[in-house]
Amino acid sequence: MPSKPAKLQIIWLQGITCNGNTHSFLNDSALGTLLQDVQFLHHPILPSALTLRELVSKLPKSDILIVEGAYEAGFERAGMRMDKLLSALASKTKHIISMGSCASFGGIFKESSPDTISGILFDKTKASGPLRGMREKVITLSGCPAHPEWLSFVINMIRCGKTIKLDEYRRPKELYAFTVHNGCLRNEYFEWKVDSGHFGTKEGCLFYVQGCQGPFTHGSCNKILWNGVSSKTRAGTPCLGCTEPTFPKTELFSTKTYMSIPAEMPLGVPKRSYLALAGAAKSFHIKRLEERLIDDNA
Amino acid sequence: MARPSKEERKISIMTKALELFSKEGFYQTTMPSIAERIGMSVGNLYNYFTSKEMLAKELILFIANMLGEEIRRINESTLDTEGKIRAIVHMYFKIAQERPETIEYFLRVYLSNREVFREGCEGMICVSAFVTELMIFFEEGVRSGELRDQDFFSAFGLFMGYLGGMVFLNGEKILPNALESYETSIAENIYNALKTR
Amino acid sequence: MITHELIERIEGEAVIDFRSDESGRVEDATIRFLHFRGMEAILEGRSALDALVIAPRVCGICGHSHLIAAAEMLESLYRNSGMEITLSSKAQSIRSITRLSELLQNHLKWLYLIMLQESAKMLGTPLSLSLKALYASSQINRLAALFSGQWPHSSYALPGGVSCDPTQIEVMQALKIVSEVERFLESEVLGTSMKEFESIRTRSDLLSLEGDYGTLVRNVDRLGLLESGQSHGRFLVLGLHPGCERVSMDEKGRRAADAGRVSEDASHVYEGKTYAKNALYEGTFFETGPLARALVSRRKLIQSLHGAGGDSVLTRITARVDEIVYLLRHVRTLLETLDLSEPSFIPPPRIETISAEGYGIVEAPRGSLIHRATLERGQITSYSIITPTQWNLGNGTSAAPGVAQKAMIGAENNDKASFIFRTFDVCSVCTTH
Repeated sequence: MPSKPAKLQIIWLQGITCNGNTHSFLNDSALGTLLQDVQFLHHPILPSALTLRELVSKLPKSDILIVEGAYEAGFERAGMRMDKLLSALASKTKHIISMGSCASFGGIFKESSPDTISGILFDKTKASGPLRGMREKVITLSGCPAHPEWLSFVINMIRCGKTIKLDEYRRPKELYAFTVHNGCLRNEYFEWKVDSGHFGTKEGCLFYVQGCQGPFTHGSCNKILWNGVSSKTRAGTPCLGCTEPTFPKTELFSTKTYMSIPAEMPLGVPKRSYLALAGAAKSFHIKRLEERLIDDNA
Repeated sequence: MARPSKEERKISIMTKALELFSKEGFYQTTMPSIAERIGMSVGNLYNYFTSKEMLAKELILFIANMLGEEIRRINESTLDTEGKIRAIVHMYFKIAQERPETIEYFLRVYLSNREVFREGCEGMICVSAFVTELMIFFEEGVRSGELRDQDFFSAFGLFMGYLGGMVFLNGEKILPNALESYETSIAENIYNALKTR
Repeated sequence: MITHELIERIEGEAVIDFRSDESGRVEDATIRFLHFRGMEAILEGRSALDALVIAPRVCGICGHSHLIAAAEMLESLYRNSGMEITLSSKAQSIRSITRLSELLQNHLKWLYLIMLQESAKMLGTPLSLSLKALYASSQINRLAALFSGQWPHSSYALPGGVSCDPTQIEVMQALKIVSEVERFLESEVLGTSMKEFESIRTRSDLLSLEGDYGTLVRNVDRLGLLESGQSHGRFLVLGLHPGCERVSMDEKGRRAADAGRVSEDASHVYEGKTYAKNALYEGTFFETGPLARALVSRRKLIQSLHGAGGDSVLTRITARVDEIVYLLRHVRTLLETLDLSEPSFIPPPRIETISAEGYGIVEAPRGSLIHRATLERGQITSYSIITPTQWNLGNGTSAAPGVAQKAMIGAENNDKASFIFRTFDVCSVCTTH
């Protein structure tokens, strides 16, 4: 009888973090299945083979190192500086996953000390992080937080020995080639340039006034739904662009415009083309799109 | 001499129709009067345009594309925003002088008989080529910091309403001086009204 | 004898410096949180609404409470600047549903991932991961996401209401999840019906319960810790919460609580040692969280345990479990009475017109959470956050120790003291925002 292949050994290391990716990961509805194929040498919450203190003293080999949280050389875990800890664990692993936007680009926590805090490979858009010499090992799962399905997808691809196609920030194209706009339930309103008059309605597009970054943010939030059921835009919240190195921008709930024209165009769309089409679409008044969808809720 | 192509015939019909519409207005101008002016039978005219409304729409599209092309050239030039305003004013007045029927048509037919353009020309569809270029002009002016950010239509109305008004006064022979003599001060006024404070 | 224990498997990590006698009995304990992230500085200088995005990132497990605190703070800023701002009762209910969902999943994770695991480990019979508990908590997070779009890190609450506009589909889906969680609670956690559980009044009845909560109580009994962990017996609820008024309780009885009597003490904060400031009420330590809420809302089971055994480990653990029962029922009522015909959001004046000071307080999983800010024409000029853990895990002096400190003093050894520490449901990331 062929023996079962060995479980992938995973270390989950935290930098400067809120634990959001850890709790996002715990939402994975097939966690039990995943845990049959992988073993956590260390995880901050899940039962694991090594405590943090043991991890730091043994610095073991692993198949995958998952890093959650932003990087700062002098930040300590169990008394060990991050520059030492991260490089030791990274050099002894086969694959590195930067889980969430802090580990990927610096994220929100970079804001408190922009000169000393970065992602593990990227500092915002620049590939100048501490793991720049191991670039080929790194897979970026940006997002604040990253979705549990994104992580289990990458782990399973690694487990099955499949090649993951990556974009310029080493994000899997299968997850990040889409924009958050793809699959948004408000697409019809975008097509006909009907904006959401104000928050709190299921009707209308959030791109024109409410600051939605969906049309120019890479991510599959409206394809692989959050908690299996929803997404920001489905709940009437603008996409905040959290998968991009520029996260967090400022004035997140209003659309930056110049003379009423959105400052940022949908990904890859020239301004002239956008305006020609927008002008045309705006000229029509589609009654159905200007009314409430369900009368009882009016 | 070779017979003119269908396309050439179409353009000559549009040129004559433009003159008639802008002089007589939309309702005074009839398909027979257009046919008579060109010297073709009314029946044949209908081979080119299935209705007077259709002809009128083609004309506004033609004019908007022509103005759009002119502004696009200015937008793509290296002029600063103040220079672009001067160039747009100059271009607009030049066309008003040299081809007055185009601007007249825009003001007296397209804007004054909106009911004619209701179907197929909703909103700004038929003038989109022109409006899009103005949007780009305004957007770039604000982005570069030269113009103040405000609602597009407040700025659009100030700019185009002003130019249209001057052309109207000129057409009514009310202006004491030649239209082009106002270019500099008008461009300056527009820039002063729109610039960053 | 001084020893340093690294406390892991909390939210983040902490170090406790124990001073013990020769037998190992704990005489004093200093709690240190090591990681400071500068959240308040990140918020300062930003547009006020950005707080709705930044603030939830204080904490991955209770970020939603931070969102609601920030939203309510912004609403108070409107009122304090003389502007009207109204919330529909639908928006208020939806905010409660999502906030209480976060409490529910938190309490389940604490019960299964921390309490059951740690107690079993101490008894030498480590448990494997409780997938059923994680499944139940992910279901509750799904319930929240039906309204808030996602959990963790939603930004769906804004001054004036909520951004979602649910239909009956979401309400029915949510109710289905409530039923599933009720089943889980009765068959797995309590080993009896919710109603039966709430009618229990004695420790011996709790010890005989068959569910996982019963197992925990028996584990703690075998560790000899059920009566341990007594602290000051002073309790505080500053936020609005089902069944609760804003009340402080101490030896002098219960009084209406007032956020004006809250102060912060940074005298224990020093570089490389701890980054947690103490939160004080009327200049002294009060316990906040599920036990305080249970006593303030006069929940019978917890009142009788408290009457018999004070603020012991048993009372504190049971208060959290009892709160699961109480809040789940409340979430069901909110869902069943939700009036979808009301607006979700009533647009307030532009935030750029607001210059004022204000605060928002909510009851987070671990207790009263306060967000306070000053705005200058819609820009944040100052921001400060007091988290529940700062109330419960602050460091006092030997004469006047903090709440958890006092609870740990007298414990037989460091391990038992650390277990008592965990009964407070420690969140390091919150504490050192």
